[in-house]
Amino acid sequence: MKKISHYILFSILFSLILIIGIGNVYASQSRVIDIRASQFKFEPGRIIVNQGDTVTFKVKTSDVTHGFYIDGYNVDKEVRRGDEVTVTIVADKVGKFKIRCSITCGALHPFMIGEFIVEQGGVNYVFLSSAVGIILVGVSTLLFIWRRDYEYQA
Amino acid sequence: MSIKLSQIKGFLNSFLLHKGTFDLLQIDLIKRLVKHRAFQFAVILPNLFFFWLIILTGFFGSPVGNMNLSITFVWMLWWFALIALLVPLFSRLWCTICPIPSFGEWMQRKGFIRKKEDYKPLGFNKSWPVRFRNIWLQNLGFLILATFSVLLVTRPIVTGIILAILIILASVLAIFYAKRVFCRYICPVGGFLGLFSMFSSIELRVKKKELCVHHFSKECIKGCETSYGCPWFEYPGSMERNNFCGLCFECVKACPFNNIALNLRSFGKDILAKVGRSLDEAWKAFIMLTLAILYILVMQGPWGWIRDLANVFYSPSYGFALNGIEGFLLYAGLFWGTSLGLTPVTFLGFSYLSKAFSKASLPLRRLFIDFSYELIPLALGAWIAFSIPIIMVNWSYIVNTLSDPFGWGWNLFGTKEIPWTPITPEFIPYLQVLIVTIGLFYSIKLGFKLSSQHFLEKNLALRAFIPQLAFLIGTSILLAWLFVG
Amino acid sequence: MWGEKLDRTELLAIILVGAILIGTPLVIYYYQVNRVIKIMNYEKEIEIAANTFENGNWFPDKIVVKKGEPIRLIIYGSDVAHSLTIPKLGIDSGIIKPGHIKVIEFIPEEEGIYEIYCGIPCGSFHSFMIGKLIVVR
Repeated sequence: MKKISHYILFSILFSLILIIGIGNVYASQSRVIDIRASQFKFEPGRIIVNQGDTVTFKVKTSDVTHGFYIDGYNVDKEVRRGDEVTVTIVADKVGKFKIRCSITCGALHPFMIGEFIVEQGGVNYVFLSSAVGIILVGVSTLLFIWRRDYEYQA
Repeated sequence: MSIKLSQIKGFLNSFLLHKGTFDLLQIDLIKRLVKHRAFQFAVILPNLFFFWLIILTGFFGSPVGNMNLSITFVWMLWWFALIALLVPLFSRLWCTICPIPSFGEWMQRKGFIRKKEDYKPLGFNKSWPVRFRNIWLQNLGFLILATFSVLLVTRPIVTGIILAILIILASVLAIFYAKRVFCRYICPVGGFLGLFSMFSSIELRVKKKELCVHHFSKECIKGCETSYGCPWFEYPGSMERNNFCGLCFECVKACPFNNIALNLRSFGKDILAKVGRSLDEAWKAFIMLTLAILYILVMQGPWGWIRDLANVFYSPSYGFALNGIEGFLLYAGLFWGTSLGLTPVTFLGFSYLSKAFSKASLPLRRLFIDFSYELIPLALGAWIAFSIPIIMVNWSYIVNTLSDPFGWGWNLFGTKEIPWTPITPEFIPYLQVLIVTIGLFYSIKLGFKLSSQHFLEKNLALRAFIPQLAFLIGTSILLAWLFVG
Repeated sequence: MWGEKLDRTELLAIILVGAILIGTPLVIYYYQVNRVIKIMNYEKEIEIAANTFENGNWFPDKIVVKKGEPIRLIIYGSDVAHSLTIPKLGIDSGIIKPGHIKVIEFIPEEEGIYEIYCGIPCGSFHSFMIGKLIVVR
């Protein structure tokens, strides 16, 4: 029993160190990102910024009319060919947010997806804590069940 | 039909706490319902209407996927309901209401509802070749459909054609072969329904096996004046897994001793059943896990170029001009190579480590097959996670097409112009990670018990399971990366 | 069944299945044909669907109206975003998103054949998406 609690304690400490280690605050910047929407993609597909950055998207489309929608950031713009739509947001929420097309644009329209990733100081905090969480759940589940079965056997 | 307090207690215990089992057929209403000869016909009938409507909209409706009922109903509503609700909770209940094999079955039975006393099935009534009595054909069929899935889920006409082909195939097979050969050995959906229903929280089993052993007339197989007997080639008396039980309730109608129960039970019980483990099912598990990851990558990822490869018939807007066959072959190679080759080979490596860690004398093949069943909860979790955004983001397309099934500008119920409004899309990634983690929990719980089946010594079982733990956690982290990374 | 005497439940079942298999397409056909007839036999109200060229172009692609009579154009966007413009008459509907309807009203003052264009790029064949408005006396 002692051994198991050591394992668990160690992994919790390890994850805490990881989480504290990445909590550094980086100076926020202003970024301008050019996005080209076409059937059925946004280019670039993955946009990575830091929390606190002021991000200006300049969106153009190369074929039909598309929508520019970002989960959780209350952005929904219509982008016609020939126009350049400018959206400025402050990246205050951390995590991965899908960029979606909000105007039916063809067969694969529901799959026209890009990603807007807000990190903290260059580290994806949400992914890291998810991974640590998964490892913790995995290891502790195994140890718990092994221990229970062990007692049952003895 | 009075419900006793003990019944309520049993139900709650089983349903909420997963303690013991609770026989749903104790509830008089359910029992009377499933024993009624018209039950299956009555539940298939409304579904038949929707199937027919889906085929019609597929062939004649708008070519725009999300404005056509065939796409929104099949690949948004049905898919989500099937994988996230029906399979985990109700096993193969879909097979109860599926109209695909109905025409064949009605032909064989020469009727819709009634069972005649002098019943002789219509058709050649041949038995299925022994060589194909496995789910390899289902694996193959599913992979072929999956290769074209980007077309299938976006082009209404492809969905219409595939549904029509499945119905015709099921009917033709029913002419030549006995009973539900199509469902059991061919249906591409049936393969993964069987696999995932091993996890589900419901089971149809006999109450007392001894009773079946000493009962020689076996009405549950042969049928009687009130029942046709099992059309799925199953014998309830020896059933330990859900895989091939289509919940048609013919056995409930047949059993003279009321010995059949429909139990609520704990999740994943069948994964520990020692019978029926085989290589074809192991490969099904690899296919399902791999395809879940690939689908998330292709359909929900930011990489548009993969979608371009997959979208083989691509014209500027919707049509069918062939575009880049080489690219599509690359994409198909990725699908087939990873699900049939890369994942199984990687898993074989981890199984070898399990063997080496535990210094087991067991054949590697045995460990490989048996451990592959631990992937089922994780794969199911990955599929549910994949399906969540379909409904949370695109639900409005379903209600839109309800009013305008063909995309012709109808507005039957006034829901035509409900705007596209995703429900809390920013929380979807967290929900997805949570569901995968729940899948991981069950995978580890059941996987370790699988390990314990081979190693009586618990420390050896633990050692053997450590490489498996690494594989499961690694896969979960890969999924988490796709969701939040 | 099949030559034997049908009992009542079997008869009901076959009627229900038949009603679904035959009735569904009939009802759909009847409903749609009635709609199309209404669209074609317009008087002052005209329904027109905006499709890309490869999806079938404007439907209908010819509209005949009478000079001096006010008309209502009900435009239905059916695949991607379009707009309806008739440059010679100075008409522009503005964007019509797929699945949505826009209504414009005007009075054609002069006889002639006017081209109906889509004002919003709608793919490679955008410039082929042309309909005709024919104003007669």
